[in-house]
Amino acid sequence: MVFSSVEFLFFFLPLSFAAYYLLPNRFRNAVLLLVSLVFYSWGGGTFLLVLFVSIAVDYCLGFVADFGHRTQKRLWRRWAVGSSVAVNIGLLAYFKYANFFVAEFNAATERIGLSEIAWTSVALPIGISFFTFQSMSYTIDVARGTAKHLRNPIDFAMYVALFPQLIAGPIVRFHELSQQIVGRFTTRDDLALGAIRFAHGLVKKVVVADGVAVIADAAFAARPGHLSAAAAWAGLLAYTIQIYFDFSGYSDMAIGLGKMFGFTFPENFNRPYSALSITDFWRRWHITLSNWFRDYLYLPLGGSRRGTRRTYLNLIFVFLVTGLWHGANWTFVAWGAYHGVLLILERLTGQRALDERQTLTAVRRVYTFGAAMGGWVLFRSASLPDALGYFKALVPRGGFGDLDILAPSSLSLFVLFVSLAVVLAPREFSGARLVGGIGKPSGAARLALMGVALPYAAALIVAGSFSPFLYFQF
Amino acid sequence: MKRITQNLVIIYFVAFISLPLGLMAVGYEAPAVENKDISDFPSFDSDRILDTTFYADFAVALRERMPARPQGIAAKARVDLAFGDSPNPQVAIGSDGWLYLAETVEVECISEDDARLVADRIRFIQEAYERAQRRLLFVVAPDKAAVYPQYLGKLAENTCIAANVVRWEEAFAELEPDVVLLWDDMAEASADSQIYHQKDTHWNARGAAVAGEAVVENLRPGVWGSGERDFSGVSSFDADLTVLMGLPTRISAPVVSIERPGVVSTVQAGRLDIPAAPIVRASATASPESPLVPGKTAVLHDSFGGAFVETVLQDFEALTAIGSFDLGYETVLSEVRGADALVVMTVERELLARLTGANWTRFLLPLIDATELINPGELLSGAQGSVRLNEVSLLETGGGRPMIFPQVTVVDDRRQFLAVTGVANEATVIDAFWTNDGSFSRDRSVGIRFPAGASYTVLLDLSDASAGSAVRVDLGSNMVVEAVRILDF
Repeated sequence: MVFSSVEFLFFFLPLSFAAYYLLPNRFRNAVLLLVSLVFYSWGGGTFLLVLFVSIAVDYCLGFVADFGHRTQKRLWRRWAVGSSVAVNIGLLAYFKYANFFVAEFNAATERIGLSEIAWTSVALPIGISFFTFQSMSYTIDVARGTAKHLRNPIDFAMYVALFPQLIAGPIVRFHELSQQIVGRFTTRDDLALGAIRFAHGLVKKVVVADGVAVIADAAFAARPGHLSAAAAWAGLLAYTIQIYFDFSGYSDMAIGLGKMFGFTFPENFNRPYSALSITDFWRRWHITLSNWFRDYLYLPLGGSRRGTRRTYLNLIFVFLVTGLWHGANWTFVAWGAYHGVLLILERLTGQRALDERQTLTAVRRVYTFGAAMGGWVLFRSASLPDALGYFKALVPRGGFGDLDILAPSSLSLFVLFVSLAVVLAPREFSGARLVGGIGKPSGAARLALMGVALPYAAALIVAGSFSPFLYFQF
Repeated sequence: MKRITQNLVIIYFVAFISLPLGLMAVGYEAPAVENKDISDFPSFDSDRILDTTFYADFAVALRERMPARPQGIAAKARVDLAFGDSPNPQVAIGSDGWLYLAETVEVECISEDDARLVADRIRFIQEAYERAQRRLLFVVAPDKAAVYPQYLGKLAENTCIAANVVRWEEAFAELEPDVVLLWDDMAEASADSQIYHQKDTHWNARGAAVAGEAVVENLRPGVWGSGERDFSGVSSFDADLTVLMGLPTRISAPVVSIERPGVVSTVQAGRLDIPAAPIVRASATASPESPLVPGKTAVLHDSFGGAFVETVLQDFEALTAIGSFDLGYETVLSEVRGADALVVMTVERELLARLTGANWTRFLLPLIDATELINPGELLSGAQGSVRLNEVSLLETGGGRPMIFPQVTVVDDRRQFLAVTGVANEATVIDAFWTNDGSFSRDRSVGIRFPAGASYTVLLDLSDASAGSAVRVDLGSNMVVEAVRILDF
């Protein structure tokens, strides 16, 4: 189930709220667990068992990690963390990457004339990249002593399965939520701000991201050589807007829902397209994933403490893994490598030091926005040859051509222009801060959001299910 | 945030998400807005708790019942229109309030070869009917875009609407009068009065009457002119193109009333169960001043035929009109089998698909006599084992043997067809392969869709097979074969 659906918005959500607030406080975690399991079953079906495996393993390992921490026995802690990583990464490796690696292996063996591995494709459980990371972070945090372990299995299962951030983040590290799991309350302000934040995210996702998606989809679906430079640029700009508004909109909805259930989730985006460098971009884009990899991978590898060469190696490795985390395809690996290389280049050229100063901001923003867009070509393309073809299409050959192949609607172009203007506006522009999901909305903005944009987003969701057929064609 | 604002936001948000469910709980549900019944909620069973299809079915039923759903769809459509966009890509917006079905506007040019293939097939079918001493009349109903191009506005750019009309007219020139082309008649009539609906795909009663006159006069000159038709009555209905956009709009349209001195007619309208298609049976007795089209006439039509039938109800001695071309079903075939004349009325945009797909052969099915079908066991008795059949274990034939015809050969000087009658448990495909050297390949085969659930007959065209070819038949999935035979017409 996705947040931007009729069944979530008008069925699941009101019933979940009713159960949560009408039952006594002591049942609230159980209620949240139950509704979260229903939420997962809705789209995940039998993959619920995979979620259960991750929960059960880390719940048990939490005791081991806690024992190791209390008794200062390093081996116990290492064993607990190692087991958690092995099981969770094993689940990820099997469900998310096995098809990819087997296909690549078979392609390689075929080239040298060896026999292939017989393999039946495995389906991908929804949200596995998120819940395995959350589950692992519990064992790691307990082993490190940054949070206490949970004795009540319901509390722990609720933490891993918590539906607002179960399938698309933000990735919550256990120590960020541990106190809230066992004791939280919801204020009137939380409810109101949570509702506004949720509405905000829904509008970003449904009106903006889905609005421009048709342009991006048409551009990236076009056959190589059939795309004019104008259409390629329009498609890339549309995808740049789509991915940001889609992902940050979903994060806004998750954060808003969390607030309404008494949780404070970490922010996931902070106007990334206003970044002054790619280094700055990664402080603003998918912040919770960056933090996760920083704390649990980059720093344990030595971070930047072991000399320049090792720092660069760590960076490139972390970004290759970050790329692969996004999907089992060479395009994601290339995207990760691309960002890793840019980060290293920025360090080599002293760009990073410039981040502290507000000089040449316009030029640096254009560079960063352009560099991020270049990365999105790799991210969105189905294969590396496709990405190469798209890069070629961006280069005008005897003129920019037209947008005819995209058949864009006036509304989608309007949404694209407005959203581009907003994300590219100066940082001080409050409207842009608001669209970015940060900053408190004014009264007029609240009225416009809740009174007009939210009903319109709901209308779009409802209209999405409208599919009359051409009864006169039989 | 002030306390009062907090309260207002919370109350508003809770009401916003809860109201639809609350209204449904007290029995209020949205009316159906698509041209189908609202889906039922799936029955809950503990076995289905991890079955995603259960949730998917539940979601569909919930969405279709959502209170305010029609208003939500309409709101979205109005915003689209305000930006000059069509709310549904299936609908193209012309000028002066005219709407068109997009696929009738965004048409590609028909090749000369395709047009000739259609004409050749129609000629072949008509000659087969002539040999059987029956009449087959093909009627092409023009699309609105071809009759009213003046309201296409910018939509008229880069389309082949006019070029395709010329192409069809050239291809069918030798087939007239057995093919009735209505473009010229419609263009002439449209100068006098509006003959197509502005916001609906179809012709109105006046346009249907133009078609009625052309068909009736073709079948028996003098019949049409002996009656009077009046269009002063008015009916109203939701225009289909506005329904497609999510903005159902009622439009008024002329209704035909017929006066034929001395003609007494009876009309019975109903619906076939399989396939779900409208059927009208009409009979009339003639008078000296009002002749009728004699004998039994069957009309197969698409959605353009409904209005057409209303204008000709008193012109036939016996008329059966069915809103389907699916002659594979025995229910349809039995209504048509004994007809002296068969009228096939198809809209222009479907002409190519209906006559170039593998299923064009269905128009020959009324010429097969049901009693002559052969039990497959008889044909299979001579089978040799040199040709193997895929998925033999899936097959269940009337004779209890795999479907295989190594002894059936194609004769060069006759166009042969393979007829298969049976009942399939699920929709499937039947393929016929032919070979001269014992090997089979996809490029020497023809496949045809076979629906599930009821007795059905398909006719596979073996004309591409060379003389002496052995024919093999593959069934896509489990089915019971009732009868098979090789035919020529």
